Amino acid sequence: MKKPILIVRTVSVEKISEALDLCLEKWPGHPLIVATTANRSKELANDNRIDRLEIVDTGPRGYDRIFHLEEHLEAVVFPIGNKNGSGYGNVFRAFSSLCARNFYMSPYCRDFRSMGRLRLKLKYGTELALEELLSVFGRIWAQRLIRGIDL
Amino acid sequence: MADKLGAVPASIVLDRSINLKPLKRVSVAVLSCNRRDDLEKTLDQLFAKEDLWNEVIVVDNTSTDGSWEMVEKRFPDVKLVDSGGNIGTAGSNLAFEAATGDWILSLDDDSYPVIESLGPICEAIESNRPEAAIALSIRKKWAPVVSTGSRSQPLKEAFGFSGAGVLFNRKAIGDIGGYDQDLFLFTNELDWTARALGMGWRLASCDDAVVIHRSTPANRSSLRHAHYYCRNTLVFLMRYAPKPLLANLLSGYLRDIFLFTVLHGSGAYLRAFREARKMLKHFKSTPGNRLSKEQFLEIKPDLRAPFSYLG
Repeated sequence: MKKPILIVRTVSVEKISEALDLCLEKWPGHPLIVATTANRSKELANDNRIDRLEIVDTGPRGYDRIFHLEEHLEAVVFPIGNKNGSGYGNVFRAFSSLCARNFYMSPYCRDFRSMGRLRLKLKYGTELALEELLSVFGRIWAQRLIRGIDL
Repeated sequence: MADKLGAVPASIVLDRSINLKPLKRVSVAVLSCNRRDDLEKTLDQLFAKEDLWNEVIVVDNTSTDGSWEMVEKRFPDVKLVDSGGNIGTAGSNLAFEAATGDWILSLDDDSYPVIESLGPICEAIESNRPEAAIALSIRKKWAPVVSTGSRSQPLKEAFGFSGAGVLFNRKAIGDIGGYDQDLFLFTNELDWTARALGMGWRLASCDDAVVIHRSTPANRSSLRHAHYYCRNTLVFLMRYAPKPLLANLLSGYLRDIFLFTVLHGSGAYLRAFREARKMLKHFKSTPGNRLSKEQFLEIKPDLRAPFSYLG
């Protein structure tokens, strides 16, 4: 039995469709699992390319809770809507502890870019640290803007 | 390769026996700018059946690719309106003013309705539904059209729509007004929705009435998208976000402006921020303008979307 591929649903149903085709081409015969939120799982329920849906608990900003799965995976794929995965820090963190041979970004669902666990961690670590730092400026500017309007 | 049918979110219910007569009360408004070939395809679809609509209005945002001449030559029944310059989505307002139908079907130049799926819309028109707007279901071109005999779903309450496929109640347009011309591109639908809700109007959506939106890449500059989307989302938050959520939403959004400026190495977001502040200089907040917490959570604007065009 070949190890499954886990695809993280972060894009529209049309885009995820392209990602599924890409995965079938790259890993023929491997079962495909899609990790998705409960309220968007219906859109994928009848897709005959998907072997299993994994419903993920989400927080206020989407995939921001660590996702656990016992299974050994061949790969974890993150279809993304830009070139380098910026802005997906919380998603990468949520799925980074999975037991997988490799991790891949799929920019625009056109091809794959291998990341490796260490690069993945570095990527989301940098982004989330920067986010934390800049949230201070966000709060200061928000107060300044709010002061300017009569609520 | 697996069959793509598996990826279709929902089949399109086609019914060739529907009574299309109510569409005679509909003015179609198409906003166009430099997409002659797409506009031609859209008009071909709209005129595939004879004498279907009350009228078809095309507002040309000063195209330079011969769109105007093409419409004049091939579609003499179309009411052509010159916007006098590229005024963005506010060009639709000219069509709203020119329209004489009770309802206005707003389309983009690269979107068209699947006529055989409009049964629920015809019923809604016939029963004079009280909603300000009915959002149609927007699909991509490649989504296969599946004919089934199943009954269509009823309309349901909605908190948003896409200008690429929406049926406006002309009375509501008279009451609420058109799109805010200062926004130019993006979030004009959000802004209109907020104003409609604030005035006590309701919106509906119909999953079975389908508009195919080809989303042609022509004239879709990433930088321009990022700029207007980022600027207008901030303006939207300032104008309509409920008071108890405003501080949190704003600080998160501003943090993202700074974050993506660094991540994408682009000054586009900071320029958008500066421009939004200028737009809001004379803005006076009134409690009636603000959405309730419940309404805001239903609208649920995607605050990360403006940052998905660059990077």
